[in-house]
Amino acid sequence: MLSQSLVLSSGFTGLISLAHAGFFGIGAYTAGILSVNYDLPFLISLIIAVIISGVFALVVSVIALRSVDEYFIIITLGIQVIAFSIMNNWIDLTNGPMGISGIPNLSIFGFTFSSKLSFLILTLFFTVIIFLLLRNITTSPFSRILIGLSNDEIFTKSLGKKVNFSKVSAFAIGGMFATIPGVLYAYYISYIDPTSFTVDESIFILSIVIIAGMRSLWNAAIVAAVLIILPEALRFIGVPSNVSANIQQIIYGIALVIMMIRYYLKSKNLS
Amino acid sequence: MGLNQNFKVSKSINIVFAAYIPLSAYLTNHFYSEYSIPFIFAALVAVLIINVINLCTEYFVFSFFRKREINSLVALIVSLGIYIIIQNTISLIWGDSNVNFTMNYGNDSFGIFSGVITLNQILLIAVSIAIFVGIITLKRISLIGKKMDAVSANSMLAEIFGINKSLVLIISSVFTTTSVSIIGVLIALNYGFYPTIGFNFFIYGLIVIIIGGTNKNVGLLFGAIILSASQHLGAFFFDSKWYEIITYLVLILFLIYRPLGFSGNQLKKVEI
Repeated sequence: MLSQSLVLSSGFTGLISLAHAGFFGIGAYTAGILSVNYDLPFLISLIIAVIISGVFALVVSVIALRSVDEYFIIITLGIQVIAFSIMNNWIDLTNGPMGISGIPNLSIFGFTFSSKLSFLILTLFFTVIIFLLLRNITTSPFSRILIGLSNDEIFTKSLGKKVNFSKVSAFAIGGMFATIPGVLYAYYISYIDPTSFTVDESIFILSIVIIAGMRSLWNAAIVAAVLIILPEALRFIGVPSNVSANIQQIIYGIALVIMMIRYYLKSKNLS
Repeated sequence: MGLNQNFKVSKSINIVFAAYIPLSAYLTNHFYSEYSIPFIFAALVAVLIINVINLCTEYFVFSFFRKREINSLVALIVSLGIYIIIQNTISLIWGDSNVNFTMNYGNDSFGIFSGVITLNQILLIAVSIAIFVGIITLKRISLIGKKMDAVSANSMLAEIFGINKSLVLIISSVFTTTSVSIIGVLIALNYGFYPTIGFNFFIYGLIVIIIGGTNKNVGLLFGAIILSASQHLGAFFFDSKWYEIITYLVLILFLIYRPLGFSGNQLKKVEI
């Protein structure tokens, strides 16, 4: 879900963002705070989290989109660090590094999703919904504007397209979709702390999108599945668990470089 | 200063240098503690090894893209991939825990006005000033310095005039690698070191470049002063835990209102 939402906001617009884990964290912390402190049900927490994330993404995009290329990435990195810092240091709101514990079981209209199987089915449901919505967006005329502005922004603007509005919309929609897995994560784990929403997570999500080829929802889903299963596969072939995380990261790095070579060659061939 | 040289010539941000900061510290510590080599020689050997690693990445990876006129965003992502590889290799070999050099000197402190400064901090300041002055002098009086300025101003014109752009890029990356590696050892002397320490300091260096602008070295000095003053004043008036937020807020303000920094020239924005 995270990588697919980033496919829209970064893959189609060409605006590489390192703030996606921040939206994930907003979803998780909103759900945690509302369910633990105010006893609000899942659906209400979800709606409020999506709205908060949408407003945050709007503010971030209006600020960040005044810069271009590498500066945009640096600003989103800054936003990510600011979000992490707030989660880690605003103790009155987020409980700081201690995190929020005791998040209740997810319940919708009286049915409690207490077993792993039921939670899996719920997650699959949201995954399919998000996939279908994103597929509709990415096959619509809106997506062609995004592709146009990623290739040549000035030319797209000269055709009368609302370039800034499109970029802000894509970024905000991507951020809002990224909140949903955050809410689900909080209810599933029932404990959240800032260390789950760091820059490393943003880099991981971005790696998935880049390795998947930037604009393919299906590829993003497959690559995400492969990269998540990778540590288990490494353990299966006898790699000690204390080194498998590092080897996993090294494989990400190599895959990133190879995919950029492949992506670069492909775009050169098309041009 | 070191990062700025490479940034001006290559016109792209190279995150690989962030990995060289902890790598220099780990290699120095390895040679110093395992082989009992004197500390300064251990540091020099570490700098040499890191330069070899840098030349290998330049030759085997970046030269592929440069021959085909790399896009700066592609360069950034490729450098991110290589940073991930090097940083995790460091973790694999030496682990993730915080390490300190096992030295009995350098921690002596001296009172200055109402503050305290250690010998290691004095060394850090002295070497930084030496690198700053050294790079400025080198660029003013040496032929390679003038070639670097020519390539950073207009690489195509520089090539027409017979300047070997690839060689200039390699030499600028050697300057950057050397200065970053030396500073990495000094940072480790003051703060200890762990595999991901380089990323934060790399970002601080980048922020100084953005605030100060790439055109004048004095701008970089002002950028560094503004950044560290903002950080410490913010920590004093609010709390030290908001250190990172203040850093990035300063960056965001400059990127929005003064994207070319103090010493950058204002470009005419293309509007339709």
